[in-house]
Amino acid sequence: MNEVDGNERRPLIRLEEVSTGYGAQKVLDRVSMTVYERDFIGLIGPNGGGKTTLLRVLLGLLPPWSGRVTILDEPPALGRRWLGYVPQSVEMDQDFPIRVKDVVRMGLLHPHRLFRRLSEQEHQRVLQALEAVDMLELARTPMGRLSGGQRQRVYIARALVSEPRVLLLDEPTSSVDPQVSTRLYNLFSELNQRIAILMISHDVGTMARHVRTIGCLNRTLHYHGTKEVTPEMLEQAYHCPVDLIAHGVPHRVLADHDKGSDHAEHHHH
Amino acid sequence: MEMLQYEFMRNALMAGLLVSIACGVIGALVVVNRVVFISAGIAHAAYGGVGLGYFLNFNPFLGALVFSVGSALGMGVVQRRARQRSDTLIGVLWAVGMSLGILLVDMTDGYKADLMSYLFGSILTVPRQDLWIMLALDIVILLVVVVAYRELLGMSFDETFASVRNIPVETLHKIVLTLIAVTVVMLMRVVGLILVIALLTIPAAIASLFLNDLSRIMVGAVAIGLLFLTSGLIVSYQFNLTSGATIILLAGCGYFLAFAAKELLDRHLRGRTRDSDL
Repeated sequence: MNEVDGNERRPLIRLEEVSTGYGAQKVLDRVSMTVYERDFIGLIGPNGGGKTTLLRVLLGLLPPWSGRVTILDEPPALGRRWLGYVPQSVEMDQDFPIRVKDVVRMGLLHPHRLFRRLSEQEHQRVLQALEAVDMLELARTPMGRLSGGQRQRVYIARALVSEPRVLLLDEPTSSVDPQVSTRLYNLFSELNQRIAILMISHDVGTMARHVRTIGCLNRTLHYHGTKEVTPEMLEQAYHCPVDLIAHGVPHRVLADHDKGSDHAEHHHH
Repeated sequence: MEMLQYEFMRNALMAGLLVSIACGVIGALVVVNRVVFISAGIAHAAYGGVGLGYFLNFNPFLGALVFSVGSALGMGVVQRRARQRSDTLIGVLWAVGMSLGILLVDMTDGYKADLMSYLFGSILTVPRQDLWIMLALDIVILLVVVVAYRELLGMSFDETFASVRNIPVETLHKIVLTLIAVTVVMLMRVVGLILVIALLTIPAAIASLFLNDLSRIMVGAVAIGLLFLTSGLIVSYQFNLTSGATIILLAGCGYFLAFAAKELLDRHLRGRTRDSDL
């Protein structure tokens, strides 16, 4: 699974037997996975299944109780600089006074270049990133005036400008209509030519058509580096709403929204 | 302009200018970071320092400065660590600081002539030496904000992303709280600690109704603050009113007017887009 076209691919993110949670409640239980160069991984799972928690661990915001996490062989608190984090577009203070280009400039914040003015070259990088997501014309627009899909593009540009090795996408299509969602996925496929992508979503249907591999996360992770979702994976891990069958994924998966409530709902921010 | 012939009046106008610079720039940060409640807490907890100054017989302003910086950092830690009940804890710190001040003043013998000036301000009695201190504080505030503008903007807009970029978010947060505390003490001289929060937030809030760029809001808030401070001073002089309260009342009226104006403006703009749709 770590070979594409016969080329050896480098591992970028390694999770080894990672367990963590909040207070006394365990949310992730011995999660292991490796993200290689050029991967395009979709992680699905019910709300409260630990998707956001896994992102927080990768971003170095939540330490593991046990197990090991490395990003390009560094611990997350250092290695996270290689991650292009794209948050959910809904999580924003609409009144915050900031323009699109200033949001993208945040991607150039750097601990060794504090308090410096941007160079001409850095300005160019900001413009290029905006161009790449087709938002150049709205560079001076206040963030609060954008639609959900446009805001998502700005966040992607912000991540791109930091020249990441892996894009981390948190529910990138949760607040956009299907047309916009398709355009976003086309953008992801294009970016995936040079950057690995790890995304979490409960919107399985659209995602399944675009990603290369799928994992299921519900406290434990079932990921085998394939696109197949086997009945056993779902059996063990799963009660999430799945409609893969309509989208050419080989195994028949029955939607079941209610079983998830057997598990304690867990909310975190 | 006969009022300009008095030195205390010239000093008061100068104090108004210096104070509006601090409250415009820091007020904008308070408003966008949504730390209005903490800032009000800092102002009231500072009274504990005033009391300590009286009790131990040193300059109450110095006490207020120590207490406001201390409580600012304390409240900052509380807000970041104990997210669950942080507003309750901040409310308790606020009240404890204030009560401590009241009891310390009670236990101090002698006539406490200018105690009211800490509560309600006394811009008309600002001595020349305090103007220099205010000028120095303005310079510090402007330097920090100009130098660290991109970092402060990034932290305020999206703290998670700023942390992931590995910039020192915790330290920046502490610097902002310290600047708020210093500004609070400066404003206390002018409008008193009970009314500080109004002067810190109203100019920035008005500016943010019409501007959508943090740096412009800062500049706009300085201008608006200067307008309220100067007009409040003139009105209070003409009608022999308490200056701090006059300034705040004018600012409050200005805020409601601006709010109404914004509403009308939005309605006008909406109407125009509807016409163009037809």
